[in-house]
This record gives sequence, C-alpha cells and structure tokens, in this order.
Amino acid sequence: MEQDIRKLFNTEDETNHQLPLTHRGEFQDKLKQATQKQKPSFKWVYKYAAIAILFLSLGYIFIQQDVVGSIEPEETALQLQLKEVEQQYLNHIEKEWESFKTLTDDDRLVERYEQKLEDLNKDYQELSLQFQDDRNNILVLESLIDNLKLRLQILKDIQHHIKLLNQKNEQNEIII
Amino acid sequence: MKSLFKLQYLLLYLVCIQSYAQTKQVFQKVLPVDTKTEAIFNLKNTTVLIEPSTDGKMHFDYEVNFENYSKKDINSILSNISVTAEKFENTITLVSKNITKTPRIAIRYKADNGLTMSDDLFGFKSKSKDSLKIYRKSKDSLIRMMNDNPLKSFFEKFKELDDKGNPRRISKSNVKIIRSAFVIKVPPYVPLTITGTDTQITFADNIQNEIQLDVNRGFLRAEVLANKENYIKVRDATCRIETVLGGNFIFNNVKNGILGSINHATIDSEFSNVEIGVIGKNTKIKDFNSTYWLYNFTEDFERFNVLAEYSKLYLFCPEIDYELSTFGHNTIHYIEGLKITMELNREGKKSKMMEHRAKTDTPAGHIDLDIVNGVLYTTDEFIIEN
Repeated sequence: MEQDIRKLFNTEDETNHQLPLTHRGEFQDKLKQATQKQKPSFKWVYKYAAIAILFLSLGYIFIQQDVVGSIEPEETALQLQLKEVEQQYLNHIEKEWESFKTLTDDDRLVERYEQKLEDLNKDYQELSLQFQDDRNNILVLESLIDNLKLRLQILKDIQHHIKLLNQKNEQNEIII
Repeated sequence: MKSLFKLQYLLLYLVCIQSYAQTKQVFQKVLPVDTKTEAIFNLKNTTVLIEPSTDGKMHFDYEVNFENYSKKDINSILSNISVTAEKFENTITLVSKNITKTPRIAIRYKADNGLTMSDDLFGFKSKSKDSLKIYRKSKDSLIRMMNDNPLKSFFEKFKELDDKGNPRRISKSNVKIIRSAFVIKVPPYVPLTITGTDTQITFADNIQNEIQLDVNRGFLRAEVLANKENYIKVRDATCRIETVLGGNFIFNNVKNGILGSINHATIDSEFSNVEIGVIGKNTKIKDFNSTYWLYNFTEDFERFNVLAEYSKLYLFCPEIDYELSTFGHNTIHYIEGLKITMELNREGKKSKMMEHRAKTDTPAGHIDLDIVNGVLYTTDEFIIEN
C-alpha cells in the first residue's frame, strides 16, 4: 500500500476547472458580509466604563464619609446649654477651691480634696464622651450636672465645716 | 372632606408611631449549680435584679421594653448590648455590657430649644429656717424614701424651653423610654463576685449569698443582705439597703445613702451622706468627711462605735436607757442648745468631751464617738442645723 504521494499531484487535472461568470459579484458579496462581521466590538468599552463608574462612586462615598467623619456634628441645644452651665460651674469651683486653700492649714486635708476633685474630673471626662455618643440621653446629662454640682458642694461644705471649727469657744468635759 | 380624612388618618398614624411600645428578649439561659459553684458577674452599663432561686438552678432572663422608639432605633440599641453566661469548671461567669447607659428606666428627649431644671442649679438659694430643722425618721419612712419613681422625678425636675426661652411642661409623647429588666435568680448557697460600672443592681427579697460587690457609678438597692462575710464597695453611687445583717461596707462618695437598719456590720466611708434608720448590735463606722444621720437604736444594740475625721454626725439619742461618751480633738458638740468645743491642743491628743451615764444597771448599749475636726449634734427630738 506504500506509494509516492508526489505522483498524486501528477494525476490531478488542474486545467479542467472554470470560474462561473458571477464569481466577481459573489466574491464582493462575501467580502461585504465578512467585513460586516469583523466590525470592531465596543463591549469592552462598556465594561471599562462600568468599572470606572463603580470606582468613582465608591471613591465619592468614601470621600463623603471621610468629610462627614472629619466635620464636627452640629451641637444640640442640650449640648450648648451644658457648655454654658459647665463654664459657670467651673468658674465657681475654681473660686471655692482658692478660698478653701486659704482657709485651712491642714495639708493632708487639701491633698485629699485635690485627689477627690481629680477623680471627679476624670469621671466627668468619661461621662462627656458618653454624652457625645448619646446626645439626648437625659440620664447622662443629669450625671454630668450632678458631677459639677458635687464638686462645688463638697468645697462649700468643707469651708462651712472649717468655719464652724474655727469659732473659738472652749469648754471641757461635762457629765449629764 | 377627603383631604380632612386624609389628614386625620395621617395624624392617627403618627400617634400610633409615637406611642409604639414593644418588649424584646435580649438573653435567656438556665445553668445548673451545686453547693460548690461560684458565680462572677462583670457588668457595664447594665441594670440587674438579683433574687433567690428555689429550683437549684441559676436563671438569666433579660428583656428590654421600648416606648416611642422606631424599629430601626430598637435594633441599633439592641446591637449595642452583649451578654454571655458560661459555666467552666463549676464557675459561672456572666459578662453583660452595653455601649450606652441602660438604667432601669432610661429617658431620651430631644429638646430643640434646651431644657431647664426646676430646682436651683447652683444651690445659691438661702434655706429657710424650717428646712434647717432635722427630724428623727423611722425605718419605715426611710424605706418609703427609697422607692422613688425616676419618671415622675424627671417630669418634675425638667421643663422644656419654648422658642422664646420660656419653660413649659414636657410632652410625654415626645419622650423616649427604655425599661430594662435583667432578672438573675441565684440559689442562696452560691457565692457572688460582682463588678459593676455605671450599673444599677437591685437585690430582691432576703439574700443569704456571700457577696463581694464593687459598684462604681450607678445604684445599689437591696431589701435584705444577710451574710456576715459580705464585702460591699460602693463608689460614686446611690446606696439604699432596707436591712443589713452583717458585712463590711466601703462607701466613697455615696450620695443619698440610706440604710433602713444595720446589725453586725462595719462601714468605712468618705465623702458620703448616709442616713441610718435603726442601729442594731455591734455596728462600727470609720469615716472621713461624711455626714451621717443616726435616728434610732434597737433595745439590745450593745455597742456602737464611730471613729471620724472632718465628719458631721446627727445623732438622735436612743429612747431607751443607754450610755454615751464622746472623745474629741478640735471638735464641736451641739447638745440641746448647748455648745461644747474641744479645741486643738499642741500634742494633738483627744480628750473626753461628754459622758451620758445609764440610769439602770442594764442599759441597751454603749455609744462611743471619737471625732477629730468634726461637728456632732445630739438631740432627743429635732436638730436645728447651724
């Protein structure tokens, strides 16, 4: 079954083929159709546009969030009111503190009060943070005012106490 | 007419939204316990009611009721609450935390023009002579004082400001309310170690458990605390206990402290205000710069000792036979219109200021007051404060 394939070409009759008369027109039609099919596709443009829009939107949202995060939220009426009350209290507390220090020569007492006022101030800072997160919570507002009130009250009370002690009037033991 | 109906419908709908109330279950668990079980509670911004359990199990049941809150707000608030209760090697650990304050009743109110408090904010109003009169109070009247209503006091205390800055009553429909109920039932033999910050703790009924309690800011309320090994530490909080039957109490800045009656207990306090209805057997107080009101004594109080510095004591003398001695240094003692002053001496030694001898051989007990830099009022009926 072995054969030389080159001989096959020799036996092929090439000259018998004739082109039809309409071949030019048919060729042009086929060419037209082929060029129509190979029109460049713009789907990738839409894809890239969609991705770009998505990224732009996300970027905008993130920027917006960033802006919102960096701008202080508008203060409520309660917060403004508290600020005013706070300042008034702090002025009074400062005055009472100075007055207390001049009234006593007991350093240990002054130290204990200093520590107490520091502790109360720390509590106030913690409560202030809570109030920022929860700005209409009456309970936190009350706690803040109570804290300031207490600082002022303990300073007034101890001064009244010292003044009572300083009233000189000596008497000794009595038996009833 | 149609538009009127529409408007009425809309108003009705708004009212329905405004008065919307619902209860949500936050947590529920039951854990078996035995006589060797211990319990540790770690609480932050939480309100709990602890009561005795009779079925040998520990029950945790946490519900929150919302009034005038939208569904969205409710979900947001609930998402801030985290509760876990686990048992490991016979120790039950409860951790309950909330981002915001959640008392028994929490009130939120958006005041567009601000609020005003009806009382004198700075306390500058001078007191009338009548308000300076201090009367003897019974245990029952003190217990009545313990049961205040936070909602009522809110509406009494605050007023809303209108556009012109004039105060007006707060409309209840604009107030948002959260009622929190976390009920924990514990068998009496389980010792409790509780740490609470911004927390309201209420013990209902007779609590026999041994309790180690540390409350920082908040509220402690109890009917009966009956274990002599109790160690109760309260800082910057309100403390109201109807009956104390033993234990050690540490008070630091306890506001409106009320103890209906006290027996076999010691109090170590500073910067506090405490009223005691009835003093029973073997009670001791060590104090720095607090004010105490001591109203009544039992017929067998045996011994009552006070060691105080920069303190103010209002002592209503027992209506039964008793002995009293006061020692002092730089101290004033007001007694029935009489003023006894013990001045500073160079050695800083305390001296006996006053002695009241018993009329019979079997007095109810002896009161021993040892005061440095203090002010003491003793009386039978009432005191007019200086």
